[in-house]
Amino acid sequence: MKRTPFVVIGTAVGLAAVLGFRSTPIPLHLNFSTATTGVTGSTGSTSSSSTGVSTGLGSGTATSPSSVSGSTKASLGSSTPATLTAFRSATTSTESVRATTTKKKPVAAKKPVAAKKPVAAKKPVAAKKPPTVKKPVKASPSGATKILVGPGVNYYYGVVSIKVTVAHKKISAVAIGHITEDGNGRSAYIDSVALPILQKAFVKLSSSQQHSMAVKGNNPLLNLVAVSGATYTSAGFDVSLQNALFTLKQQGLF
Amino acid sequence: MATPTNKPAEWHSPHSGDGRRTLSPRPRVADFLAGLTGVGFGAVTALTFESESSAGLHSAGGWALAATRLSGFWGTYLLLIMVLLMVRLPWLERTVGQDQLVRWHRKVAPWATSLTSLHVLISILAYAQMLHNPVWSEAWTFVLHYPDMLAAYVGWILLLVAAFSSIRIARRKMRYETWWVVHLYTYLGLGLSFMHQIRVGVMFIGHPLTTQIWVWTWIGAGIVTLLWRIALPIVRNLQFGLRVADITEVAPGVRSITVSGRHLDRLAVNGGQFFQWRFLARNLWWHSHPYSLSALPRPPFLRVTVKGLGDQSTALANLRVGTRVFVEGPYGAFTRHRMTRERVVLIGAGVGITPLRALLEDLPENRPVSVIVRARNHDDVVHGDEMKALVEARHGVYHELIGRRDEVALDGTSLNTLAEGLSESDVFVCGPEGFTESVMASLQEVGVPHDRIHFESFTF
Repeated sequence: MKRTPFVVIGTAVGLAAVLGFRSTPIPLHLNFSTATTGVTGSTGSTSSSSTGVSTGLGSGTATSPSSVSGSTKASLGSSTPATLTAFRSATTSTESVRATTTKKKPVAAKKPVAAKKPVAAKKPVAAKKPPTVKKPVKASPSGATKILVGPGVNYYYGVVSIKVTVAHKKISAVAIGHITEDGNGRSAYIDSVALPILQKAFVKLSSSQQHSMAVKGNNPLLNLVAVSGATYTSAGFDVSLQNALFTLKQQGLF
Repeated sequence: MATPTNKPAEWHSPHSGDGRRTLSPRPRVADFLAGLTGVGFGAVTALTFESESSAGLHSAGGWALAATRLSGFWGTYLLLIMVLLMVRLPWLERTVGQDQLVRWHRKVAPWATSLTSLHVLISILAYAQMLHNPVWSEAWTFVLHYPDMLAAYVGWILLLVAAFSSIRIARRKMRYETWWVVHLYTYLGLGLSFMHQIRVGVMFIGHPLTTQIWVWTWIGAGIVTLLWRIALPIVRNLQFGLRVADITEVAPGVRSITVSGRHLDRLAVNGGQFFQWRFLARNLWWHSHPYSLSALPRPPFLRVTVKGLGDQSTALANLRVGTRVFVEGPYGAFTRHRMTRERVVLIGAGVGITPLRALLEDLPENRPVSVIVRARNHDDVVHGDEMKALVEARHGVYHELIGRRDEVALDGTSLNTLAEGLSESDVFVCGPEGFTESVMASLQEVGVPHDRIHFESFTF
């Protein structure tokens, strides 16, 4: 056909343009405002209730969820990667809150509190806002062991924060510190399957001495560990965990 | 009635052509659109590849999920292209020709359908694999737990029905109207499947710009479809206010229908182009047909010459003077703009002579022209006397071949004898499918290159 060359050249241009324009890092907007921080102050209604939904989802090594439910607020300050912009912070706390109380089956802790909007249609409401993070630091009596909960990361289907336990500068356990789901039972279910896989994958990664990757530079690596079909849960997991590790590294504990 | 209904007598006399608006093709527009199609395809492919990570690929169901994303995005993009091919974009219609656009639409269709179907099936398998669920329960979970997914499933089924109805065997057994309505539902199907793309698609979540571009691409396609397929014809017809002015039987079973209307001097049309005609009478209004003009317009008149087939012939026989007419067009690239050489040869048979009759009138002056028409009997030659008069006015050559197909063959030798300088001419062929095919074969045998043989097929 006469116009085939135009289509072929166009295809090459399209491929090159997108691959060039969207080169690394993938502009994935993640949010450091957790449901408990209430960054915008617009809704205070859920901030108190959501402190109780921390779970020990799928984790045998986690300490009891209540131990991380402190409401200490701290700013991560300069250690926060600048590439990550606050996203959807105004709406985060109005999303319904779900807790996963059993290993496989998510159970709704609360009914959706506000009318839900399409996730993808939301625009960044507060770009460049200095991220605030919940950072309850609980030093264990031994001193060498430390448990830290990473920042809550908005991964489009909810907010997840990862709790990491280090002992003698090594990761000894990875657990879910805190998770809120957007009220979509399906994604909650996917998360309940994906998160234990991610945990195992990360523990495996850290034991294979590759964990230095996780704290290389200042920016968290997306897809350091990943489960396909739960791409954004994986990204949320990675970012929260790596931020926790950054903090521990600054404190000389990792 | 405001519009005159008297029959014009001057169809026989050559058209002066003065001050008449014509339409030239826009090959650059077609080239640009072809390139743009490619850009979109490349972008879609790149977006899909970018949303994969090696860690994700190596997790359970990772490769299957990558396959489902690619097939889904490709399939949807091809569906978009299929919609746009049928948008009746005027520049594309008169550059490429509707028959070619339909051919491309049909060529893309199996790919689009099978890719979207693969997307549906693989996504179920992939999630079943990832979540260690049985396949059937996974399919069911999809419907139950993703609100947008139920709509997407329904959209897919509508698409499949349209696809199956368009398979040649099914198409033959089906009434045109049924097929048309089923096809109309594909727009609904596309709409239903849209939300799941941007709300579940990994390439869109967290990419507001990509999402905006995708949303506006589809909104744009919708607007363009509404504009050119619906709004423009309505505006045109309100302007023209066409009514049947005269019906004359010009050959056994063949009727010339003259319609009259206002402002037809503003109508830009080339000889050889066609309109979709809808006669707003009982039993006829809901069915439109492609009929070529059988002469250049003589405002306030237009004329088509129609051979009724089946149900339609009886219905058309009952068509009355004064009936309102709704036309869409002009469409088609079977015009003098296809010409690349000095000499022109027109070869026609049956009712296929009618566009050649209009084309002949539209040819530039002083072009050496040869016309060959074929019919069973002399009486069957549609507008034979008009053709003869037009050819004579141009000092061209006119041949009528009368007899059965096996008696008067149009092979290479006879074509060469009948048309002087055939291999150095542009040849326009119009007639029944079998006739066109055999003439094209003969022409190639004589050595007329493919790009100088022009034809239009009406068998959609």
